[in-house]
Formats: sequence, C-alpha cells, structure tokens
Amino acid sequence: MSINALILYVNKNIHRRIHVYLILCLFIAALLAAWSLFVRAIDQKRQDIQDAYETIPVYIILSNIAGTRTDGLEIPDYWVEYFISESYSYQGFEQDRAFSSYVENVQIKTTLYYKLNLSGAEPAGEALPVNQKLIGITGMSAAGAGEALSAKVDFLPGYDESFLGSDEHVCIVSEKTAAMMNEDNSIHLAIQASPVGDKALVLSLNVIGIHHSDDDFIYCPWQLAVDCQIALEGHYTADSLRATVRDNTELSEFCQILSRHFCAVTPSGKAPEMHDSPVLTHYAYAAIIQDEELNRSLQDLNKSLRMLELIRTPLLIVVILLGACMGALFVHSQEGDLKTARMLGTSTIQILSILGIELLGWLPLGLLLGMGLVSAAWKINVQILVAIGIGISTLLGSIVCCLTQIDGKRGAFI
Amino acid sequence: MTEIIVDRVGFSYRSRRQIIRAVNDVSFRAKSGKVYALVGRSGSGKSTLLSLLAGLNKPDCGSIMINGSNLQSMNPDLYRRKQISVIYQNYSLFPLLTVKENLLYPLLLNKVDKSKALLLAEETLRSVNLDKSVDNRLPSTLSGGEQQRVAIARAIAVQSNIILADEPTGNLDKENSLLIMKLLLELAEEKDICIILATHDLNLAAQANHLFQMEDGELSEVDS
Ligand SMILES: Nc1ncnc2c1ncn2[C@@H]1O[C@H](COP(=O)(O)OP(=O)(O)OP(=O)(O)O)[C@@H](O)[C@H]1O
Ligand SMILES: [Mg+2]
Repeated sequence: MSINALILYVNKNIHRRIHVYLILCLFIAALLAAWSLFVRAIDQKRQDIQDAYETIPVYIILSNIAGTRTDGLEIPDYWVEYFISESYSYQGFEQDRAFSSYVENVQIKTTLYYKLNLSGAEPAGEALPVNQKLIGITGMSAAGAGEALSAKVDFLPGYDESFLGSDEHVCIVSEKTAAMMNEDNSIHLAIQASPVGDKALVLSLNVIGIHHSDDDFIYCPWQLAVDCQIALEGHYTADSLRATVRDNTELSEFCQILSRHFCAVTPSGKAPEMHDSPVLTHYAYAAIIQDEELNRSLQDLNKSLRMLELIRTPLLIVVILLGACMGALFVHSQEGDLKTARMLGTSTIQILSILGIELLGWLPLGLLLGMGLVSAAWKINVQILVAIGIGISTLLGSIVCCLTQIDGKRGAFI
Repeated sequence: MTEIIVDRVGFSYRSRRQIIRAVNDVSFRAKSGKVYALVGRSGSGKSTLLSLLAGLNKPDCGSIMINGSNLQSMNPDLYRRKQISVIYQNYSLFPLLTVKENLLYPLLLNKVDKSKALLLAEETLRSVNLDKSVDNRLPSTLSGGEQQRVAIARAIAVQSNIILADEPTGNLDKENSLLIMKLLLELAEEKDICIILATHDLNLAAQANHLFQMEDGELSEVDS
C-alpha cells in the first residue's frame, strides 16, 4: 500500500520536527489570543460607555432665561408639577409617559416668612423682617449653596434628613431659635407668604435638628411649606428646582420634551419665541443641563472606540493573513523533503494528504490552546468564528504554498 | 524491453532578463540492457537533458517517446514511480529519514509489501558497499560518498526500467567509482535496464556501452 510510505514520512516528520510544530502551534495560539484581547478591548470600551451613562449624573437646574440666577425664581406650581406629577398632558393631550418619569431626586425649595409666635395667639398680617424665612426643602441639597444648611446640622436623636421628604410638622432651626423652643421641643410660628402679606397662619413645629449658622432661617419639609402657601395664597411657587436625569440614555429624548416648557439659557436674556406652537408662547425659565462631565467622558470613550473599530477589519485581515503565513511557513519548512517526495513519484494529492495529516496534528492544538488560554487566563468569550477563520486560512496558506512552491516550480537536477 | 527515442528536443531556461538555450535539437535512441554515458563541460546541458528525460521539465520542442508513447502524455507521477529512477547530483535524500527509511519510501510508494521492502532495502545497500552500520543513521551523518551510494541504492532498489544518474560517482574514490560502474553495467545487463548517466569522469564514461558528448546543448555520439 502506498499509504505506508506516507505514514512513514508523516510519522518520522512529526517525531523529528516536533519543535517546529510546537512553535507554529504556539504562534497560532498567540494569534488567537491577541485577537481575543483586541475584541475584549472593544467590549470593554462599550461597557465603559454604558457605565458612563449609568454612573455620571446629569443635573437639570432651572434658571432665569439669562442663566444668571437659579434661586428666588418664583416658579409657578404648574411648571413645578411637570417634575413631580405622575401624569403629564401637553397641548391638552394626556401623554403616554409622565414628564416626571425622566427625572429622579427632584429637589425643590419654597420660601415663606415667619414670626416666632410664643404666645400662641391668633396673629394678624404684619410686616416681618425679610431674613426670618421659613424654607421648605425636599432634602438638604435643595437648599442653595452658601445657605445655612451648607453648615453642619445636628439632628436630634431619632431624626434624620429623610423627614424633609415627608409632610410632617418638623423643622430645623438655628441655635438662637433653639434656645427659645418649648419644653416639648416645639415652636409656634406665625407664617406669611411674604414679609408684607396681609394673611397669616399659625403653625406648631417639632424641632428635629439645629443648624449652626448665624441666619435665623427655619427649614421644614417642602410639602408642608407648599400646604401653607396654598392655604395662604391658593397656589404655590418654588424658588429653585433641580433634578437628576433618571436614565442618561434618554437625555436627548428628555431634552426635546423639556424644550416644550423651558428654553436653553440665552445670555441676552431675551426669551426665544416658540414659532411652531399654535399658541404663541414664550418661555419664562431656562433649563440648565449639566452634562459636561458626561459629554467629556463619552467623547473620549467614543473616540477610542471609533479608533478600535476602525482598525478592527484591517486587524482581522492581518490576523487571517498571518494564519495563512503560518500555513505557508509550515510547508516551506519541509519544502526540500516534499520536492524529493514529489520527484520520487508522490502525487499532489498524496503530498496534500501528508500536509493535511500533519496540520491536523498541530493546528487544532494551537487553536484549542489559544481558546483555553483566552478563556482561562482572561475569562474572555472565545470568538469561535475567528478561530475557525484562522484555521481555514492556515490550511489554505499551506495548500497554496504547496501548489506553488512544491508543485508549480519545475523540478530540476541542480 | 525498453526503448527511449529522443527526437529533435530543445529546451530553454527563461528568466526575465535572458533565455538560456540549455538543450538544442538533441536526438538519440537508448535501449534497455545498455549503459549510456553523457560527457561534456560544465554547463553544457547534461543535467537539463536528464531532467527532460525524467519528466521534470517539458521540452520546448521535439518529443521523447518511451516504449512508443509520448512522455508528455503520460501521468508524470506514475512515470516517476514505476518507469524511471533518478540519482540526483545533490542526492535528494530525506534528511529526517534514516538510510533504510530513505530506501523504503519509494518502495512503499510502489506498494511493495513492507517486509519484502525491508529485505530489498538491506540487500541493495549491501550491494553498493554500505555495511549494516549505516542502515539506521540519518543522511546528514554520512560522508558525501556514502550519501551518494545511498542515493544510488534507492534508485536501484525500485527496479524500474530506466535509471538516470547525474554524476553518480562525483564524490566517490576510484575504487568505489569502479564498483558502482561495474554494478550499473551488471544491472543493465542482468535486469535489462536502460541506464543513462552524466559524468565528468572520462575513464568511467569509457566503460559505458555508448558515449555521448554534449557541447552547448548539442549532443553527438562518440565512437568508442
Ligand atoms: N534553473 C535554471 N535556470 C536558468 N538556467 C539554468 C538553470 N539550470 C541550468 N541552467 C543553465 O543551463 C545550462 C545547462 O546547465 P546544466 O546544469 O544542464 O549543465 P551541466 O552540463 O549539468 O553542468 P554540470 O556538469 O556543471 O552539472 C547552463 O548554462 C546553466 O547555467
Ligand atoms: Mg549537472
């Protein structure tokens, strides 16, 4: 059987050239590993982008149109309601999705004025000092920077910031005011909507914390302040409003909706008119979108992702070509022997089967080694298709090299 | 009974820069049972002519008939496996196979039974004056002359009808050269083989049954 000759050749070749096959095998493994690492780098970048969307907060802050003030805005209740109401109608139509569903952690501040009503007698409207403010806040961060609450607050035992989110009759007062509170830690206040208001109401609040600032401001839950304002005025306003975008991937969609009611800051201070509206409305407030950090991060990440994706195809081609080169090298390393075999009458098919059997010995091993390395050492999903691609290209490389180098060239005696 | 008829054969090596006419209008006949010697200066075209006969190169013009059929129309693999054996100037041994395995390869390729092939290989190696100690050595550990004899043994063992030899004794001492020549002459006669050899050794060539002179690709018979 002529197959015995081929077996003889392959057997001896594999034994005596094992180092060559080992090197080829390792190279194939390295090739696959290198490609997998590259693919992982791309995946990592995509994950980083995802993470940036998820972790970098984007704030929406309402301001005046010129963008110079974010406090004392007297935002009417119907604008505030967009951010907190569970339903949302626009131009008379109930929308599928509430405006408020785009935001979370809405921080609002509303200001009233107080007088310490120690006697508990029914007050009449009178002129109050402008610095005796009763400030309703949804949380500590709703208070503007530089205000009393930026200093430390000592909560009484059993109380914390979360009470500001409720509508309970509690408050945080200055040390000076705390000294004047009743034995049961309560204070009585006469409340007015403005320092010169003609209506007042009396409120009894439990002190739950003390702020260490010289201002005589009293802080209470925002909802409580709103209730008082409605009782006094029939409606409420907010001094400031800020919110966090719930899902940054919806930012542009949300900005569209936001632009129905708020304009972007116009430094001229002149509100742009809304021409496509059936009612010629103009904006009263601007929305500042603090997304610089997110944009900067995304820009950098997208740039490197684009770079990686740009070189992805050329790199894949290089990897496949290197696989083919390995195949060619494998044939080239035994070119002399194969030529001799050919001169002795070994047919092309027989030469190809010799190469095929030898390839079967090291190529799958190299690919498996690469896959094992990749999944064990780096926990990367192996790209089976690329592994198969490298395998096929190596096979093709060796076939082409065999047909051109061993068979194609005319044999010679010299 | 084998007959080779070479009729007005020409062959040129073509490179981009030049064309070298290595074999020019060569005609001759060779029959089995005889040894033919080709002599001529280096570069005169001896090896090229042998490569044409071995089917490794195709003539540009003319024809080579082996037992009445044109070489060009024959299956080259079958022709090389069954009809001819070649002793190459550079030996062309498998470096990774032992001496014995080198002889086994063409035998197994010809579907000779393995045990028979082993016996034949050993027998042939002894006949070219190589003793048992070389059987399991790699060619690279042999001297040039020993390698040459292995190459000769490989060609003989296959027992083909034609043996082409390019400088078969180029690396051998006088004694071994004469032994090989004697062997080839005996082989030709006993086994009815046609042997064509190219050589520089005029003494050796003189022992052949027919002597041809090559000059610039052209062949002429020298009367002995
Ligand atoms: N592969 C080749 N490509 C181009 N030219 C070649 C090739 N082989 C041989 N030649 C040229 O063909 C001519 C004949 O060469 P050939 O080898 O047949 O001579 P030769 O008689 O065998 O010489 P020598 O006795 O040195 O072996 C020479 O001029 C040589 O340079
Ligand atoms: Mg020569």
